[in-house]
Amino acid sequence: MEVTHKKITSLRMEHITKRFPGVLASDDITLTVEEGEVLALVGENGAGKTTLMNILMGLYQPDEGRILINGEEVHFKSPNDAFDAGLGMVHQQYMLVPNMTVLENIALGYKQAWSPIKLDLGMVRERINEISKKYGLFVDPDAYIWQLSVGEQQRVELVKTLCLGARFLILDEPTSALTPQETDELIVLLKRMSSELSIIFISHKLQEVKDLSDKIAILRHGAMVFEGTTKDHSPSDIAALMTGHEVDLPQNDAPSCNGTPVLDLKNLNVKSDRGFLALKDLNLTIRGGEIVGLAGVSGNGQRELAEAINGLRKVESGEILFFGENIANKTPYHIIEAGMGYIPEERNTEGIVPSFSMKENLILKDSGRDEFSKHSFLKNKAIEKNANDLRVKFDIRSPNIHVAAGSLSGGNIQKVILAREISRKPKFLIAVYPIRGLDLGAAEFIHKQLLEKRKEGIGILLVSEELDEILDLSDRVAVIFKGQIQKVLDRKDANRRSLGILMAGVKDDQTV
Amino acid sequence: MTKQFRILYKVSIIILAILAAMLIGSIILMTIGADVFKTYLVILFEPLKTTLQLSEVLLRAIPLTIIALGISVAYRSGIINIGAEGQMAMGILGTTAVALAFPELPKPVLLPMAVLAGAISGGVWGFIPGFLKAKLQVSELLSTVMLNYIAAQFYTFLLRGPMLDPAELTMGSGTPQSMRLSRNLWLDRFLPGTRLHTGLFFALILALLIYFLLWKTKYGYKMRAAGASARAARYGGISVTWYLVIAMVISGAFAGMAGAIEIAGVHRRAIEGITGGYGFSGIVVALFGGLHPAGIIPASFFFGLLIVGADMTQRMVGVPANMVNVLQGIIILVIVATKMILADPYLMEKVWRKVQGLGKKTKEVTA
Amino acid sequence: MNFIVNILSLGIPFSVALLIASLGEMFNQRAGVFNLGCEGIMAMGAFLGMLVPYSIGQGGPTPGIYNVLGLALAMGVGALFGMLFGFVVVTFRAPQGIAGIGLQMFGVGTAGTLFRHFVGGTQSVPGIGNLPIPFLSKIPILGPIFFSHNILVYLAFLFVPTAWYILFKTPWGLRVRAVGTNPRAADSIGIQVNKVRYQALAVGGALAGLAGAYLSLCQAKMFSDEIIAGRGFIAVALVYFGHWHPVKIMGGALLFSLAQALQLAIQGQGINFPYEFAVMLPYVMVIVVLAFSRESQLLGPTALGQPFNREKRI
Repeated sequence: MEVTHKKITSLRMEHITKRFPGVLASDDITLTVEEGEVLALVGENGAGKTTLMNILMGLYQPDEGRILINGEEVHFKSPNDAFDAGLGMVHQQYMLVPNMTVLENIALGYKQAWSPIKLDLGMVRERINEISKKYGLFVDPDAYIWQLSVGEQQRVELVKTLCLGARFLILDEPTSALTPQETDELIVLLKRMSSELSIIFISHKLQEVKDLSDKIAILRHGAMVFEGTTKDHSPSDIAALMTGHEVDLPQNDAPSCNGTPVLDLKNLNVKSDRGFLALKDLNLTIRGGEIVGLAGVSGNGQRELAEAINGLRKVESGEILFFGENIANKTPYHIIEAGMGYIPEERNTEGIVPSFSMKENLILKDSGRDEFSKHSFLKNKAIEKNANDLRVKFDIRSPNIHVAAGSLSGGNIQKVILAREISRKPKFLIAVYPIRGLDLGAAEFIHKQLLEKRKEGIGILLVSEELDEILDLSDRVAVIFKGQIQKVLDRKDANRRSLGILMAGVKDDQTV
Repeated sequence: MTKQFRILYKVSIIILAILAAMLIGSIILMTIGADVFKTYLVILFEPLKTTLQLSEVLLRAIPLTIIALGISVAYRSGIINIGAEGQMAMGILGTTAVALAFPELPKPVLLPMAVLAGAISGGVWGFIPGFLKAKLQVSELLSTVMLNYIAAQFYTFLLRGPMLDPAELTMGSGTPQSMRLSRNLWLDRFLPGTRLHTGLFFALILALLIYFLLWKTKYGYKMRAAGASARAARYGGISVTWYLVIAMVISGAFAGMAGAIEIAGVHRRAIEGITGGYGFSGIVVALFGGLHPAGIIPASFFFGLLIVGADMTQRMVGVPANMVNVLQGIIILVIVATKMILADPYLMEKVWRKVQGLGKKTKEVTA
Repeated sequence: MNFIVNILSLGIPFSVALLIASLGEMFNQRAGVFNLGCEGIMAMGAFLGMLVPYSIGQGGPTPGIYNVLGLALAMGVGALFGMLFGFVVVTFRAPQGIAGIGLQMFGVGTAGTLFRHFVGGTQSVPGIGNLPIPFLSKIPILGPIFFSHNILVYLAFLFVPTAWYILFKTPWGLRVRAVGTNPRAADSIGIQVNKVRYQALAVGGALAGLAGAYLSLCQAKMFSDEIIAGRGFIAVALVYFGHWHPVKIMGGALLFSLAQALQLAIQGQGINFPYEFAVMLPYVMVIVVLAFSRESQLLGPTALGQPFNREKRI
């Protein structure tokens, strides 16, 4: 059976408004896409891009506003309605079921192959072949999703969306998990597809916006702040519109210092949750008073590295020398007491106990210290004083120190964590994606604090995907790929291009 | 959103929840052709009418309080203890063993020793699922239930064999029970004409103790952190598995003490059926009391009332006493659902906007 | 030889209640819902299953149709209880473990209350008799082991391939597995996650009800408060043990019931050890089995126990 949909000659969202508790996620947004156009939806994290697209796909219901296709109003109660109208979306976090095959994942949405008592996988297989040939997108239908790499999974997502008959593609940050080289391939592919399909793609990477889009729409704090044609605007214009002011984060301009090595990782082997080696004989040395940026596409072992150093993940073999002591497989408590500070990736679930008050979270690592308890009894006055002091010093915006930490905004949660970690006077600090998803004000504050700690002579390991962040702050840059350090560069030798190549797994610059 | 609306919203939801619980109960009552209104009336008010009955309510509130305190320690630490029934049985056995072995010891020695033995026996029975969860990730929900069945069998075995009253063997009917325990174990009954015993004060002291443990000490802080977010606690250097085991041991020890107090105060010998569902009711009491000693004390009074009331419905309106289990089951279901509704800000905002919309419309109509 | 035949022919019918209930629980868990209230639904099933033949036949011989009605009633109410549980844990997203305990207390309590009112005391029913299969049951050794049971035994073992087919070869099974593993993915592709979970709970509840009715109509031929004796909880444990796969679950159910048959047979041989310790055996086995069965992260329903909330922002 052939899937046929009416052509979408125009799509229009009018006056879309959507509220979440305490947040106005979409504020009276209107946008239009015509046939064969590529619209880039641009904005910072949290600007409301994904919410808007989820509304378009029928995943969320708008509180106000309407959607028009070919001039007629449509109501999408669920994604099914959106599929039927010819829309398809590739989400940022791939929507695939890991313990099913590619074939089964696509069959899940391919209702033509459903009869009450039998699933016609043969029909799905044919459909996949047809689409694969048409767009030059090849996937192995019998592979399990968990066996596939991120790039392959994205291809499955694209094939799935096209198999289900999409004439109008929505892509949510399609390149965020790809290497620069995979990104280039995707851009070429999307350009080819744009001759047949209309595309909306969400991004905050300006280069690909320039490369791919015809039109551009910029969101800020849930509202549309700009709409226009791409070719009339330079990337710096767009950046300024995105952020509201020129991007100006603090930079590491102090001379690099040659302190003694404080953290020395030797032939480290660590397994991932799935049981294979996420770190393979990894070696890295960090000295006091320097920031080492760990660059890499996420999923190359960064999480495992941070967890292993902090005693939260078993080290299979190798040494972690921390001021000369091997802390591999020591308890988190022991490592904390040795002077390790850690700003974890998952700030909402790992960095704080969400249901605990702010003041309680600020003593998470110190409830047993004499400062905060005596004969095992907590000293409430000292705890409150500590919280009040840190609240002022770190500019934590909360109604008071008794509110549940989980109710604070992302930036303020991160400040709570930072306040706790820094006020403990650590001898070393690991910061994992410290500004991900934060507004510029909070990001600037956090970067300043990190640089200040560096000045005080503390070694810092900064894990990030954002090359700008790495290049702004680091004294040296280590690139991680498939659980190994590809290369360690001095700040002056590193640039976006050289790092991109290393992140893609190419070791020698000369080969590219 | 106004503050009045928030309060009104929460109160209405709680009222709706109570109505829903009573409605489901009514359906069961109507199925057996009982007079619904009268049944509820009997359960809720009949036990309050005489001192004797009131004392019986308090008598049941004693083990309920102690067990629920233990369960809330475990719950707050992230482990659900459904094994209080078995832990209580083991506690009774421990206490009985000590009392049988040293009947001549003076009261100030024997009583604490026997209660301690009960606490240790219950604590050991709580340690097993705690350890299995911490080291081998065995679901405590299943292991504690299984341990209940095992404890029940072990209990019967001892009462029929090693602990059987010699008098039963020679001339009695063979009822599985121990001999009457030494007087030096007995708790005083302080209200003449009733069975109400000094265990009541013991329960209140334990409640105070748990309050201080959980909210005023670093151990309580760490336990609550481990329960509220195991990941964050681990990150913060707190040994989640260690506190999990400790919490289960405390929880089991409390159930064991409840058993000890129950035989020292009420039965004065080990007989079959002492636990009689207290372990499960304790879960309901703990939840109903908001997992806080200040809530658990009134909650155990309320459930003591239900248990005594349900006994009376049999005689007065012909409703089987099992009805109390039905009500407890409903109450758990309604509490957990209601908690989620109250914690959902999105729903509240939705309702708020609907209410506002209605307000606007009526205004337009009147205009 | 005779001894072994005895154990096997005794053990196989023992396994049926566990098998049916576990297959039902498997559908629940594959859809991401952990239903600890299985025990309560089984108690209701056991009561309702014997109620129909009892109240119409009043203890005398009853036509088979009443038994069928009893089974149907048990399954219907089981499905209803499953959906009631869904209302609490799917719609309101309550934590499933504790809610399951609530359902268990509700089910066991309701069955006990209704039993006292409608039946009163211990009353036996003729129940469902054995149906030896012609010719096959005459085969030595194999006949008594496999072909001399009541009809539900045969049906229960037919459920195993059926459940496998439904789970892995039908669109509904595909949806069930998807909502239990990655509900967001299922949702994004137009599958109504909560609807599928309700359906799975109804199926699971119906099977739990049937398992309970098997106990009262085929095994005990009566009802008592302790008739389920933790089998509902054991069934839940078997699903973990069987890694959510029908065939492995069947293996687990057989292992348990054969151990029980062995213990009865040993006692029958006059070997003396306390009866109570024999009764403990299956419960101890559950704990041992759970302690030593490793969960496979890649195969299981990874969203087990997690309520789905589309609008929850991460």
